[in-house]
Formats: sequence, structure tokens, C-alpha cells
Amino acid sequence: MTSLPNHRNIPSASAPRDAMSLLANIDFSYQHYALGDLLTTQVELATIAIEQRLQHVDVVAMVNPDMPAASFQSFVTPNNYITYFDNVISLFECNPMLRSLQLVRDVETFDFLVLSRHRSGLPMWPHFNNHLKMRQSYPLGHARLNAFHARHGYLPRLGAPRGYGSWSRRFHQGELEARPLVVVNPRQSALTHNPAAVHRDAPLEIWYGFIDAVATRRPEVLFVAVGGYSEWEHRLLHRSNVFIPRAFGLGLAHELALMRIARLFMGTSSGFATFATFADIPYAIVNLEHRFAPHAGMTPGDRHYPFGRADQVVTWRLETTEELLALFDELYGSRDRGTKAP
Amino acid sequence: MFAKIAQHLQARADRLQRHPDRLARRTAQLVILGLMASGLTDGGRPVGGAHGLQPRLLSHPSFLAGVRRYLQSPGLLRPWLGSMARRLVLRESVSARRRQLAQSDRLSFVWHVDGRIDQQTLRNLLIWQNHVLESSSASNDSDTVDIMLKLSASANDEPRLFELISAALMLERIRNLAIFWGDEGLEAAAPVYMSNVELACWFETRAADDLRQMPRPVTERVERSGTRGGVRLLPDGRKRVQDFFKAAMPGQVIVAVGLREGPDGAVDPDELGRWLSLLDAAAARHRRVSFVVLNRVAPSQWRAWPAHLRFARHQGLSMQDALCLAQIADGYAGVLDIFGLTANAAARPGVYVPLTDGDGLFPPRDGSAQTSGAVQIMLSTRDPAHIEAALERVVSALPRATIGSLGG
Repeated sequence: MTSLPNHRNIPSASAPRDAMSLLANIDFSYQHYALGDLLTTQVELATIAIEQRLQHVDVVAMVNPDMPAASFQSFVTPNNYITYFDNVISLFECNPMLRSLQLVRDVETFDFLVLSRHRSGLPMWPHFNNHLKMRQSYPLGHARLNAFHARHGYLPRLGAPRGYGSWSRRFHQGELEARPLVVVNPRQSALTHNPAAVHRDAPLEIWYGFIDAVATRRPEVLFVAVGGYSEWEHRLLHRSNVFIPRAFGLGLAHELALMRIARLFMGTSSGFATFATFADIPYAIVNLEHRFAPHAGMTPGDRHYPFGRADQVVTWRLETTEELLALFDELYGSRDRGTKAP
Repeated sequence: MFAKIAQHLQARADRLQRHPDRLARRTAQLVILGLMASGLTDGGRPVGGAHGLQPRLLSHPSFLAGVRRYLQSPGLLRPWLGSMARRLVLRESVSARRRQLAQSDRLSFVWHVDGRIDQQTLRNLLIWQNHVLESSSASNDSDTVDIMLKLSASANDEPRLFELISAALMLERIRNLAIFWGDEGLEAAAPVYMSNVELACWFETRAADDLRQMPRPVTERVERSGTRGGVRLLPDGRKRVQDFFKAAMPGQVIVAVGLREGPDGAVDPDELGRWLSLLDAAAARHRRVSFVVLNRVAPSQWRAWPAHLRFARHQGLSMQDALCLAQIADGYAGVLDIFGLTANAAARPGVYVPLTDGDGLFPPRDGSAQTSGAVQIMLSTRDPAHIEAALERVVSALPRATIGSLGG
């Protein structure tokens, strides 16, 4: 087997401090630019750190400009990788144990970092041998998270991107008149530049009907429509009970921060739904794919994730306006009621 | 003797890597890998040979993609070969980094931000790269540098951090950017980013530059004379901006506008009010001119806008797209923030107004500094009358739009 450089030639990090931290390497040459996967990974990293009695997570996000994406994301190229990279950076700062975020674009620096960590025997994710294999499973399952929850009775929760929590409260009070927020994300991959799994897209007329019905019944509610600028129809802007952060120049970090203070999230299975899943807010995630069930440790038809509360609901069929209204009636206000586990 | 044989084999194999026959190419690559695995060559170069004379197989994108393909292949042989190659790549890569750390004086810089990241901090990114870095010990080296940014461990109100990151990713000389909350993470990571010389110095002094505070003479010089280059024009950003121009303001001469912002990054309402009257007046005099504001506007300030005014960030363009827009609009009007400085660096004609209220160290002037035929007026005052006069000069000098005028 090929030998690797002797660790004596590699400057050692300050071991006592590093021994309390998990080094997480997100290498986009084989890992995915995908909101849901990256957010799930953040929770998983926190569970690993907790179980190893570590205090922090240091995230290293590596993109090699010459090979900026996994082979199945071939639309990410040396010419546009900065945009994709920029779009996901805020996700790392939702990690509740984050101590540092290192954005690396130099292969030599990254390899040196990984190998020195491996040689030092300090905690690292993924395991060195798995990193060498350049494989990431898809979809990311919940096995580790379910097991952690079974052992400890809780999951570490995603926070607003670091530094954005105060902004969201100010913005909510000052610009959104402190109206109760319900975040919605009816998935519309068909409207993006790289449509994928469009069968998971939401039927928008159903959602418009729902939003308009709530406007009559609960006029104080403000729907916050999150997602890329291209992912909503212009008709959404016609509604006075809808706020679209991207239409006001805000970005993913702002959206996630607003989600964190929302009363409720409702949406299709997507990256935002993943954030809701792990962010300790009430949610209704509709039309989950049946084939995802075993990855989540569930059976199609289960109403909650194994770690979900009573006000954290998933469904397994295409939504209707009536069903969305029923879910809204059931879950809205559950924060005030202090809903517990099912 | 073995080294000479290896050198000979390597030279033959290198030539065969470009052979039209796939089998010959693969055999050549296997020979090179075998030589390297045996330790007789180093990273595609024979041991003891002249470094850099031979193509660096291991860092070539097609080779790396091939390694990944082999690693992810089914079966046993290909993943095993891929694993061997991956370890070789890693070994070579680490050796190269180790040499770099040992031989370089300046690879990285440590910044801290004393207070919140604001518009001035963002602007200072480009000033630092184009003027402070240029005059540092790293100036002889056109290579990129690494930045270690230290924020307070208790910093919980920093809603412009991602704008700083977005801008930093576009700067030509910044390669790696590491952000640390508190000292511990920085100290742990320092051996990865700092050369041996820097590391010794760092552990002695813990010196870090405050990104909010650039040397006053430097900022004054920039406010007088502007800057040049340093910001990447992203290809996909350029495309989105051109799409935006054609859809939102077809046929117009387009002037980008940058205004002073509040602490959360939305445009300052008073500043917006002052500039709107200036822009309306200019548009009334020049019907083919439209303005695109690069800052975002708070919802409470939003209203119906005249046809000659658009807000790029509200129409799907990101911070990075807006930086691209500043580089390719026909002109610029506004403050010398990160947008203004980027426009200035791209030699855009324009009116450039100080971002901060100066202390009068250099006398007011309304003269122009012409570069490549483009009118760039660097104002030393924020007085509306001076701005209006300068804007008129710049807009009058912009090329006339001709679309729709073919028929006379």
C-alpha cells in the first residue's frame, strides 16, 4: 500500500484545544450541493460531537475549482462554482456547535489539513478511509439521528445562521409589523435552471387556494414564501398576506433566520423542510416520497418522524387545499400551547 | 542508477500520455503511478529532476476525475487502483504544501472585526487587497493568499457576514477564507494556513488587522484616485446581469447606483430620498438613461418606482451578481463602497462620492480623473449640488443608446 507522509513532518495543531473539537470536512468533489443533505449533515455532526463529548465542530468546506462538484452535479463547473458555493455557505452556520468555518479552495491546503488531522488521531468526519473513497450515500438517512434520539431523548437543533438571529427579530418587529409568520415552501424545481425530480413539485393552485382561505380566516397571518428567486410564480406577489424575502434582496441566511422565529412551516419535502425538521419549530411536510420512508426509519403513513413532536407532522400523499387548511388549523398556535411529543 | 532508469521510464510514459490509443495512455499513467508508488518519482517528476518541466499528472483535473470514477466503480480492481491513485495524490499534495509552508514568508493574513461588519468593512476588503496587500511582503508574489478572520466568540448580531464572504470569494487574490469565533479555533488551525515563519511570529505577537480600520492615508488615496482591478467578473453573474439589462431596461444606457446603507444592509432612507431626486432629474434630461440601484431596500421603504429606476437585488440578482453589474453597467453613480469601488476598479465612468463624511483633509474639488477616455469624477464632498453637476457631466458623456432609432 502506498505510504503517506510521516506525521512528524506535519506541524501539529494545538492538541489540547483541538481535542475538544470535531473537524468536519465537506468536500464538494464528491459531496452534494443540496440544502437538505447539508443541513442533515450539520445535525449529524452535532450528534457525533456530543457523543464523543466534544465541545465544538469546525467545518471545512472544500471546493476544488478544477473539479467543483460530484459527477452527478455536472452542471456545477469551474465557471459557475462560486455561485453554487456561495449559495450553501450559510447552511454551515446553522450548526449549533460551530466554532469555525473554513472555506478552502486549494487542494494542497485541504489535503494537508485532512492528513494532519488523521495523523494526530483527533476527531474527524467523515472517517479518513471514507473520505478517501469519495462516496456519499443518497439520500442521507436518519439512522444515526434516530439512534441518538433513542439513546438521549432529544436531538441537537439547528439554529438561525450565526449572527442572524437578532436581525430576524428586529426585521420581524420593524418591517413585518410583528405579524405571526407562517413559512411556506411549495417546491418548484421545474422553475429552476436545473430541474430535478419535478414529480415532487407542489401543485401551486392548491397552495394559492390555501393561502387565500387563510387570508379570510386569519388575516393577521403573514405567509413567508422561501426559496430561490426563480422558484415562485409572479402571482404570489399579488397577495397582501405573502412576503417573499428574495423579492426584497434577502438571501438564504435571512430566510432560515425568519423560519427560526416562525409559528409554523408548511411545505413540500425539500431543503427548507429539512431545516424545519431539525429546527424545533412546528411543521407540516407534505407529500413525502414513499421510498424515503426506510431511510427515515419510518413506514409510509407514519405521521411523525421518530424524533418528531405532535406538532411536527408529515404526510405521504399529494396535498389538497382542504388538507392544508386542516393541518394549519391543527398546528398553528401550537407553539403557544406548548405541544409535547406524540 | 534506479533514479536514472525511473527518469527514462517517466519521460517515455509522459510522452505516451498523449497517445491517440486509450490503452497506451492508460498504460503510461499506470507506469507513472507505479514509479511514484515505489517512491522513485515525485508527483509526476523524476526524483532529482528539474521540477516543473514535466506535466503534473496528479493535479490534472481529468486525472482527478478519473480517480474519482475508479473509486466509485463497482467491483474490486478499479476501486483498488483508484484508492492507490488517491493516496498518491494525497501524498504529493501534502508534500507540496509542506514545502510551501517551509519556504514561504507570507501565505496568510489574520483579520479581526472590532464591531459589526458594515458597509465600510465590506469596502475595505477591496482596499486591503488592492492597496495594503500590494505593498506588503507578499507583493512580489502574484499568487493568492489565505485570510483568517477572527470574530468575537460572543458575536450574535452579525447579519452582514455572508455579504463579506460573498465579496471575498470574488476577490482575485483571496484563496482560502477561514472564519473563527474566538481564539481557540484560530490557534488550532493556524499551522495549516500559516507558513513556519508566520506561525512563529503569530504565536509571539497574536497580531491581527482590524478590517474596519484601514490606514487613513490609504483610504484617502483611494477616495482621490480610485483603484484598478481585483474583482472577478463571474461568467454566470455576467450572464444574469445581461439578461436582467435586456429584460428590465431594453435599449437603455444603464447607470449603476450605490447608496449608503443602514446597519442591517438596507439602503438608508434619507440617502435614498436625496438620490431619488437627483436621478429623476437626470432621467428627465436624458430619456435613454436608466438607473439600477445595487443596494436592497427595506419593505417599509418600498413603493412604486418610475420606469427609469430598477432595483437589481429585488429582481433576483445576488450580492455577487450586483458586483458583476457594477463592472459592466455603462456607468456608476454613488458612494465608494464595495460596489462603487468595484465599478471604479473596472474603469466605469461615473460619479464617485466618499462613503463616509470626510474630515476635510483634502480640499473639495469637482475635477475629473479621466482614464481610457472614461469620465471618472472622484468627489470629495457629499453635497447634492456637486453631485448633480458631476452626474450631469458623466451622463452627458455616456454613449447614446441607438436601439429603435434605425428608422431615424
